[in-house]
Amino acid sequence: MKFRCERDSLLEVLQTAGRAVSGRSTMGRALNGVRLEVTGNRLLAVGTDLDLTIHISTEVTGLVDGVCMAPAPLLANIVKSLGPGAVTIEAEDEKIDVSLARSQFAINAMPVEDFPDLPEPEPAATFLEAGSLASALKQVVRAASTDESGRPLLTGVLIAPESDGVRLVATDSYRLALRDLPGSNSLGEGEQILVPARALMELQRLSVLTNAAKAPVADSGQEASQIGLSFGDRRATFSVSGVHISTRLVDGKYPDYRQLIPPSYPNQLEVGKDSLLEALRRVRLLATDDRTPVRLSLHAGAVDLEVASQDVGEAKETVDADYRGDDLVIAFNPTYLIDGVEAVPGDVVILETVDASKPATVRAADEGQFHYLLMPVRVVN
Amino acid sequence: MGDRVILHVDMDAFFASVEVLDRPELKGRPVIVGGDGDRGVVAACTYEARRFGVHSAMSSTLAKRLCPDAVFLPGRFSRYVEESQKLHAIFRDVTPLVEGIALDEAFLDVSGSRELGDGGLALAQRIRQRVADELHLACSVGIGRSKLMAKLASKEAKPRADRVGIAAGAGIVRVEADLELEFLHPLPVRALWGVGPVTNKRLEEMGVRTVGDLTRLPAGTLERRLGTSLGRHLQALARGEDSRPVVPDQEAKSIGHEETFARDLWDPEDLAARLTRMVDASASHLRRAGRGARTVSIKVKFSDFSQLSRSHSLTEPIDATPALGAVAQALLASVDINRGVRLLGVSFSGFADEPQGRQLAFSWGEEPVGGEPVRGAGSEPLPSLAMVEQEAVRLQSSWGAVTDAVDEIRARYGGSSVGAAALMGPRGLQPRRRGEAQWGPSGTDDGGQSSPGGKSGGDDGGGA
Repeated sequence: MKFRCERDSLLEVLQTAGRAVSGRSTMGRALNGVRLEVTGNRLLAVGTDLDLTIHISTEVTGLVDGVCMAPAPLLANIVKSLGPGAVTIEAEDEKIDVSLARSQFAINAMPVEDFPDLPEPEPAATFLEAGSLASALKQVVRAASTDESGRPLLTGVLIAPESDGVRLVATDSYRLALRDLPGSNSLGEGEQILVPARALMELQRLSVLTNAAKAPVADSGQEASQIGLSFGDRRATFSVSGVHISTRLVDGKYPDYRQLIPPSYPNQLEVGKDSLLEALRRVRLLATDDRTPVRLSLHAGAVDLEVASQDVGEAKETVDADYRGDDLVIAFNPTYLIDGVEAVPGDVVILETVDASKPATVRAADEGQFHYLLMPVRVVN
Repeated sequence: MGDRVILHVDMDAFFASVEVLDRPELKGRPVIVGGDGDRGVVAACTYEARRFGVHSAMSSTLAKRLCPDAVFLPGRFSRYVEESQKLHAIFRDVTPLVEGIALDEAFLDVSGSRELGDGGLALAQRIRQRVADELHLACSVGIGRSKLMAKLASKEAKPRADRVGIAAGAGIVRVEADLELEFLHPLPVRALWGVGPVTNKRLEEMGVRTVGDLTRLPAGTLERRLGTSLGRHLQALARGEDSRPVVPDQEAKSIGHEETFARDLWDPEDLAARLTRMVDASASHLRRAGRGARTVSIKVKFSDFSQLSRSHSLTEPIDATPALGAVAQALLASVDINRGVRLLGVSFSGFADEPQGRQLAFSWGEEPVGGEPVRGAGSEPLPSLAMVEQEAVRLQSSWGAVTDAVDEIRARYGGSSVGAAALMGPRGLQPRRRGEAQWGPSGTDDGGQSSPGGKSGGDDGGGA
């Protein structure tokens, strides 16, 4: 196997495939390798830890067709260290030669037959527009639980049909983020998949999505990229321009999140998003750890924010706002609240509350496609 | 560094005096606060009752025999707490170094005060005056350079009652440094902190009756008979050496509840139901304190007075009643109750370090969002202790917010408005209230003598 490829695009391929490689797999050395295959002018790189598999292919100058397996982080580090230019990679016997200009590496190859047999990525069954998917992932994924052993179900992001589209839901039991993507439904009635948040974080990192998130399609004038989605019984695959991210699905039935949402809220705060965010970030400076709450005093005309830490001091700020309801003091984890407020589209944020111990909602001024529910911190007065 | 100046302030017949304060018609009569059932004990009594030989911790049966005309009152714990808070507020005006010992008793370290020209007498006088003016109650103050001396001095300052009559006390007694041993040595050894009935008996067997006798024993003798640490401790106290600092009040280290039953209980289901009531009350208290507990303990005292405790610690703090209950019930199930149970208690400790509040979680109902569910209470076998952790986590996540709602309803409509089905008795819901029937069962209720846990509750009782 032999090919030549520009350093930057080769590096992107190796790093992307490498992110599925755990690097410290206990299941065998083979899972620490990236599989490279050249067919004509196409290079296909595959990394996997069996839960998550990333296929990525790119155009190269193919010299000899063939296949090899390389230690993923080492090869990526070598390529990263090289100067700009076309890198030549040649695999022969048990060595992989990497060269550019006067730099020469010969690293030990890994036995390619040890690489696990993986199913071919399935063709996409439905498509999601890259820009809105990117924004939805940004709004939702961070609310998922990271507690693999305690809350395995909640480490997944729910993708389920909702009216004429799909809905993404994630929660760690303290806050819940929900986003609708209309007009993209191919899930059957009652059908739902639970995608590990980790796979969606990798999806978010793909350049197609980071670019789409930076420049909305409407502004760029370019044709919208589409993300293909296919799913079988235990796996789902996201496909976009030469990349397939395949993941095992979280097994189990997602808990009924709808019952968490209070049917109505007696108290409603309407406040400028930027002024609230800036004030929250300022008072949060006084939080000594991630358990220091921010207290919100809601009353007519304004919301007072307060963070106090015994060892550090206290911060207070008043933000003008429209408030309808009973005067209320309610406390939140400031990071959870900021996460929710940041995710609200538009300039105005609505905070709806029942009382100091029931779920509160953060959303945009119109009912919209995004809904963020969060539990308060109970403070002792 | 000069000598410390420590005050020990102790209310005179506190609970009984509060009752007389609220019902002036009782003034001058023997009043006893305590349980009046078979196993009730006297929690407090007025000096008029003491004239007949009644004293606190005496069995109510004996007290009635000694003083048949006494007015017996069940006690209103929440009312005493109310007065106690005012009292402790006065203490904190004097110094931040206040160590509460009981509702009606505290040590104050006033060494740093600027008004010590007279060794603390004026400060003590001011405290007594404020307590009299603001609470309309009397207290005695002891002053010394250690907790030991201050406590013994306050006792000395108290009024005395005997057959002849009631003699007003000095109100304030100060033990000066060079007179300490003169004051200390004639006192009986049981006045010392650490000498209970058992130790007292052993000391008597050795011919030790007074504190002075202790100092005359060779060091080795006492240590051999009582153990090294207690032996050394007592001899140091007997020499007037006590360097224990006044530790400003911390929050309670545990919250709990225990009950002595009117008759011994043998039926596991009956015990389980009573445990449910106790857990319910203590869990509410835990949440009001804004805490979550990592350790659940139970205490069982058998009919033969032998006693054991069992505890289980979790990795995550919990505060939901069903979660705490699952652990407590599993602990109870692990105890052989064939000897008959006289007393049952539960306590929660290992509080999470949450000075700032507790992050609430969504209430998922009965759905498991964590691991596999484990069979719960009821007719199903109880979860083993190994599995109870998982069960507790599951119950915590499914019941957390429901529990909040229960607390809220209780706050609004009273303690018996809502509770677990297991608390339902023939007379409706019977959740325990903190401090309820604290000094033994009343004649009609077969509930039991219960005493609230936590630092603020109960009577310390012992000597200095």
